[in-house]
Amino acid sequence: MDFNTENTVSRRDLIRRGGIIAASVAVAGALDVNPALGSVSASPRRGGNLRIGVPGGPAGSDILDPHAEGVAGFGQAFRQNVYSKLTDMMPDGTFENQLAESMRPNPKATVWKIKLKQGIKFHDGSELTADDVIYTFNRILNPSNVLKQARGNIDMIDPKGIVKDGKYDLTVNLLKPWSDFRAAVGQRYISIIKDGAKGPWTVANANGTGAFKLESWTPGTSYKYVANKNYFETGKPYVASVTVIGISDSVARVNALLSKQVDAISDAPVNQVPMIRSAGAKIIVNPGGSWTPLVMNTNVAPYNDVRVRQAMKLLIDRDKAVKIALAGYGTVGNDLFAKYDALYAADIPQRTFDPKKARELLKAAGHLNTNFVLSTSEAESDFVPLALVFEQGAKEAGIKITIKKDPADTFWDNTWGVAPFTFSSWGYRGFFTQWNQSFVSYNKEETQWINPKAVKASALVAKAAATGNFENSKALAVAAQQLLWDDGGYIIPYFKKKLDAAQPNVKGIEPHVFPALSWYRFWNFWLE
Amino acid sequence: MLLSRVKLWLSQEKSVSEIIGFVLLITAIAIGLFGRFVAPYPPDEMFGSPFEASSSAHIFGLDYVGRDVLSRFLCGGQTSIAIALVGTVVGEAIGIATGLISAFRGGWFDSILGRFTDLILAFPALIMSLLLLATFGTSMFLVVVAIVITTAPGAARVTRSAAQEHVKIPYVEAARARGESDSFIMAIEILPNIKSVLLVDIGFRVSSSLVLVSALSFVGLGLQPPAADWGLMIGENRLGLTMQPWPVLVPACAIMFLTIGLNLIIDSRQLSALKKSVATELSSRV
Repeated sequence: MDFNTENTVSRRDLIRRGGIIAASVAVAGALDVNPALGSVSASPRRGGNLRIGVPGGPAGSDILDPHAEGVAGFGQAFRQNVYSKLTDMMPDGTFENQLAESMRPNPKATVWKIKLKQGIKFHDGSELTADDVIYTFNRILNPSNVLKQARGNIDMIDPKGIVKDGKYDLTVNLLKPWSDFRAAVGQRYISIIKDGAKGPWTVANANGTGAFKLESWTPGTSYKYVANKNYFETGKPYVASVTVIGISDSVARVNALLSKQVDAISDAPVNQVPMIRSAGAKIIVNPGGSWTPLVMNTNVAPYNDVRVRQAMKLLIDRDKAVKIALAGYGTVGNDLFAKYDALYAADIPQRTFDPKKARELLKAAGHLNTNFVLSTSEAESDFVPLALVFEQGAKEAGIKITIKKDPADTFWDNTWGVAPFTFSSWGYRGFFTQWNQSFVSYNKEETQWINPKAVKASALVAKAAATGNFENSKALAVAAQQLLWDDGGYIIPYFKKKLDAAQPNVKGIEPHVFPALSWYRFWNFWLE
Repeated sequence: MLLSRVKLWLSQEKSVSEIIGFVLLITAIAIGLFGRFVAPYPPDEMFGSPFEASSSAHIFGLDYVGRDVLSRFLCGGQTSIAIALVGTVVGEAIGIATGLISAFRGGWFDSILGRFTDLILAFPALIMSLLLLATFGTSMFLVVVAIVITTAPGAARVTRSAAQEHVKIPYVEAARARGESDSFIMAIEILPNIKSVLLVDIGFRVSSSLVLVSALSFVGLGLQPPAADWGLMIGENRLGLTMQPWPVLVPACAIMFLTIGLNLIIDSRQLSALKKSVATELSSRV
C-alpha cells in the first residue's frame, strides 16, 4: 500500500509539473511572433507586475520545500524563479550552466569536477559557495528526508564521494558512470539552497539565488515574488514583480486571460484557440516534446505476452490520433521517447496502423476473442479521445476493446499503476533521464518492464551513459531502444505540442520543449 | 383496450398546454426510439477534426472527436429512455406493493416502512445515485438500481396515502366479509381505485428519472463512452460550446422536450382532476 501511495503521489506531481495538465494540445500554426528573435532585437522595457495563470492545486499539497514535490507547474514556477540550479533546461531541451561555471567529467564519467560562478548572492546577501551545493546534495540524498523525486534524479551520486576542493570548487564521485550528469542536476527539484537551511519552509526563509524573492504565498492559490536586484544574470529580471495565480479549470484560465485579469496562461485548451485569437491575445505553440503513452503492465496477462503488446501497438491509427485527440497539433510517435535527444533512434522504422497483422498476432497468442479493458479518465484532456481512436482501430481489426472511464481526481492514485492497460502522461526529458525514470528509478511500475529483455536494455543504457564517445553511446542507446520498440509496454502514439497564451504586450516567452511558459523562466519576460 | 383509452383521451376536452406537452413528449420519444433507423452515419465513426462546423454532409457538424452530431443525437435517446422507463417501472412496482401493504396492514410494518422511506427521501436523488455509483463503480445496471432506489420510497408514500383513504371505505369491508384474501383486496379492489393518482405519479417519476440519467451521464457516471447518449453528449462537448454549440444544444433540446412535455401533461391532468373534484363536491352539496 505504501508502495502504491508513494509512487502515485510522486507520479501525479511529476505529471502536473510537466505542465501537462488539463488542456489538450494542438492548434494551427499559432506562433504570432517569434519571441526568441524579439528578445534579441528589441530592448526590453523594465518594470511592471506580470500576472501569470497556471493550474493550481489543493492547498494542502502546496509546500515551500525547495526539493519536494508540491503542486504541479504551480510549485515549479516558484522553485524555478526563487531558486537556481547548477544547470537549467534550454528551449531545445539541452542543459546550460546556471550556477555552475563548468562541469567536467573524467573520461569514464564517474567523477565530475564542478566549478561555481563567483560572486553569486543569495537573497539574504550571503555568497554562493561549494558548501551550499554540498549541503544541498546531502540533504537530497539523505534517505531520512522524504524527497523521493529529487533523490531519484541524482541517486547516481555517491553520498560519501562529495568533496570540497575550494571555495567555488567541488568534486562529485558517482556510484555508476553517468555522462548525462549535467541533465541530472538540472532537473526540477535540485534547487541549490544555503548551507544549513532547514524547514519548516516559510516565505521568510525561502532563501535562494533566483531572479525573484518570494514576497507572499497563499497555498494552492497564489505566489507573489519581487525582482532580486542582485540577480547574477546581468540586467535581469525585467519585470518588477510576478504574481502567479492558480486557476485549475482551463476555460476559467482562458477567461482570466481574455478579461485581462492575468497577462499570460499556460495550458490553453486547443478548442479555445480561435476565441483567444479573436480577442487579440497570442498563442505560443511549444514544440511537441510531451507524450501520452498507453501503458501495458508487461507482468500481467494478457499483456505479459509480447505478441499481445505488439498487436496493441499496431491497433492505433497514429495519424488519426494526432488529428482527433490533438486537433492536428502534434507529431506521430513511434513507441520511443526523448524525441529531441541526439540519442533518439530515428532510424527504427515507423510503426503504422495494421489491423491485419495485429489480428494475426492476437490469433497466434490465442487472444482473438479476448475483451481488452482500457482504463481511461479525464485526468488529461486527450485520454478519452485517444481511447476512442484506439477502440475504433481495434474495431476495424475485429478486436473488442471496452473503455472504462475512471474518475479524473483519483486517476493517478487508483487507476494508474493499478489497471493493467491504461494511460500515462509525460513532459519532455532527455533520453537517459527518461529511461531512468521510466524503467530504473521511481516510475518503473508504469509498465513493469523488468523481464530479461528489459534488464538487457537497461544494461545497454547504463553502458551508453558511461561511454564518453558519442558514436558508441548512440549505438548502445539505439540497441536498447530497439528492445523497447519490440518488447516494451509503451504505446506512444504521438508527441504533443502544448499551448500557452498571452496578451500581446507580454514579450520574451519562447516555445520550449518542456512547457509551460518557457519552462517558467520568468526573468526573460517583459511587459511592453 | 389501449386504443379505446386513447380514443377516450382524444375525445376529452384538453387544454392548450396539454396538447403542447403531448406533442413535445411524442416528438422526443419518437426521436429517442426510432431515430436510430434514420441516422445517416454510424454513431461512433470519426469523420474529421474535433468540433468541425456544420456542412452539407454533417448538418449539425462534428463532436469533440469528429463524430457526426446528428447521427449521435438520433441514436442517443434510446438507452436513456429505456433505462429511465425500466428503473421507474421497477421502482414504482416495489413502491406500490409496499405502499399498499403498509396502508392495508398498518401497525409495525407501516411504522418501519415509514421511517425507512423517510431515511431514503432525506437524501436528494442525485446525491444518493452519486454515492451508489462512486462506491460500486459505473455500469448501466447500477444506474437502473439507482433509479429504483430513488423512485420506490416516493411511490410507496404516495400509494400509502392514496390507499389509506380507501381502506376505511365500506367496499373493502364488504370484500373482507366475503372472505377475499388480503392480496386480492389490495390488488383487485383498492389498486384500480387509486390508479389515476398513481399514473400521474409514474409520469412525473419517469421524467425526473430521465433527467437523473442524463445528469449522471453528464458528470461521467452514467453511460460510458463510446455510447451515444444525450446527457453524455452534453458533458463531452461542453468545452466546445463557444465554437460548435450543436453537440450540446441538440441533445439539450431533446431532454428539454421530454421533461417539459411530461410536466405540461401532468400539470394539466392535475388541474382537470382538481376541477372535477371541486365540481363533484359542489354538486354533492346542492
